[in-house]
Amino acid sequence: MPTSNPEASMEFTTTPTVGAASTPIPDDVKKKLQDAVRKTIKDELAKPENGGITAAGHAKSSISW
Amino acid sequence: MNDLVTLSLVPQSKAPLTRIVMKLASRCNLNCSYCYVYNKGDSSWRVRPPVMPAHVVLQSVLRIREHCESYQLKEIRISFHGGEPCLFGVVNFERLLTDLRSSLAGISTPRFYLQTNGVLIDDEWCRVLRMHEVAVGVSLDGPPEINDKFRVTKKNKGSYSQVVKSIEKLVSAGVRTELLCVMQLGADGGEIQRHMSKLGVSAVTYLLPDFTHDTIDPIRAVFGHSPVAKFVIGVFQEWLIQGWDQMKVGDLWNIIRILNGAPSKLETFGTSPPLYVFVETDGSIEGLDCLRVCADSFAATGLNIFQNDLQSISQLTAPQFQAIFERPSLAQDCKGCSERMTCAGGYLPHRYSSSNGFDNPSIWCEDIKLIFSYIRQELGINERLSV
Repeated sequence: MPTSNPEASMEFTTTPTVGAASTPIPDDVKKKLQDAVRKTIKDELAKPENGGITAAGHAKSSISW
Repeated sequence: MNDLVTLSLVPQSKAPLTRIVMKLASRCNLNCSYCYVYNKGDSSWRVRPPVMPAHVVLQSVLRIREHCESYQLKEIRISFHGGEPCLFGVVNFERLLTDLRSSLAGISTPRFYLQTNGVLIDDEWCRVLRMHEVAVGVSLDGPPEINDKFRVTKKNKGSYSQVVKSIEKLVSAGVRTELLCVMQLGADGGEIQRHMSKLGVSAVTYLLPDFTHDTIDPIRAVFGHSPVAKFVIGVFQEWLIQGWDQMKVGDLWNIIRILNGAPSKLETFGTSPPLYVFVETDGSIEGLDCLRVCADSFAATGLNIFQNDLQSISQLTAPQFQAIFERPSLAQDCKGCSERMTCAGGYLPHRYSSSNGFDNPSIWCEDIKLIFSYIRQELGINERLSV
């Protein structure tokens, strides 16, 4: 079950262009995401308890953010 | 058994571990080509019990209780990992959860997590996971044509169809279920994200491919110098287009957090130390599991739950163990970098070279800079922004 990454993925060749969205992302969508992240950060800062770190990918069940 | 718990009870100066990872099985029922446990040069699993024996389980429970008592932890995160942890058996697993809750009653509240390949999940597993509020991460690398190239049985048969059935069972049973996906270099991240979003889970996290400076050259030769950035930016675009509030993408959410000045919640970036430790099936205490990609037995500490308390790993001075408790020193080449407080040098295994130890930037340095720059630009985050 542990996962890391594959030499084998060499078989894939698709290469999306960095930074070029095929469909433009509306500005209000970006703003809402940024606002939502900042709100969760401020909410966390308001709590004495800190939430902890996800033992990433590897230890992790990804869950805790 | 109680006399075993009296060893080494003196709390140490480092911050206490907040997550204990129990490796319930050292074997797996899949043979994924890229697995860092079995297929990257580490052989330590060969000499360990295939599943955690009863006396190791019991001692683990006692050590966890001792740790929570010693450090007065109101909450402890306990992850079950492997190999494939479901090989431990659902009856044994339920007994373990019950024992942990009972042992920690009045001391600490346990939060349970299971990371599985999903193959063995059935209705009984779902019942137990739901009843004990275990959050589940299922490993899946995308649609069948991608997943089944790597995530295969020992007879080289793809695992996709079985895993997706298990995901459906988990979701139907009301088990908190998320996905864990290794970034597939050269694949279209947007396509994979689109696929993941149709599986009914609440979140997905994408993992950086695990290589070191000793092993990355053949990968670069095929994929060029920023394959991770291409993949992640594809995921990001699809995530926003499909509705970011429909399913979280854990690593992207975390990147946006740290670009906004918040502590990281994943160990791959940022200045927050992970504060976790692994207990192997033979009772060995080990550090960052993924360090196995650096060299054989690289995560080994020589510590064991029968002789040592869990926090004793904080006394080991090698950087790979100190990294559990404090962010490792930046590599010389990172000290002048504008991302030194956000990336903070990257994930430790990705910094390793046999010639230079960890004194290197991450193998994914260029990708990380591209991703951070792209997300800042897209979301209008000021480089000096902090909350």
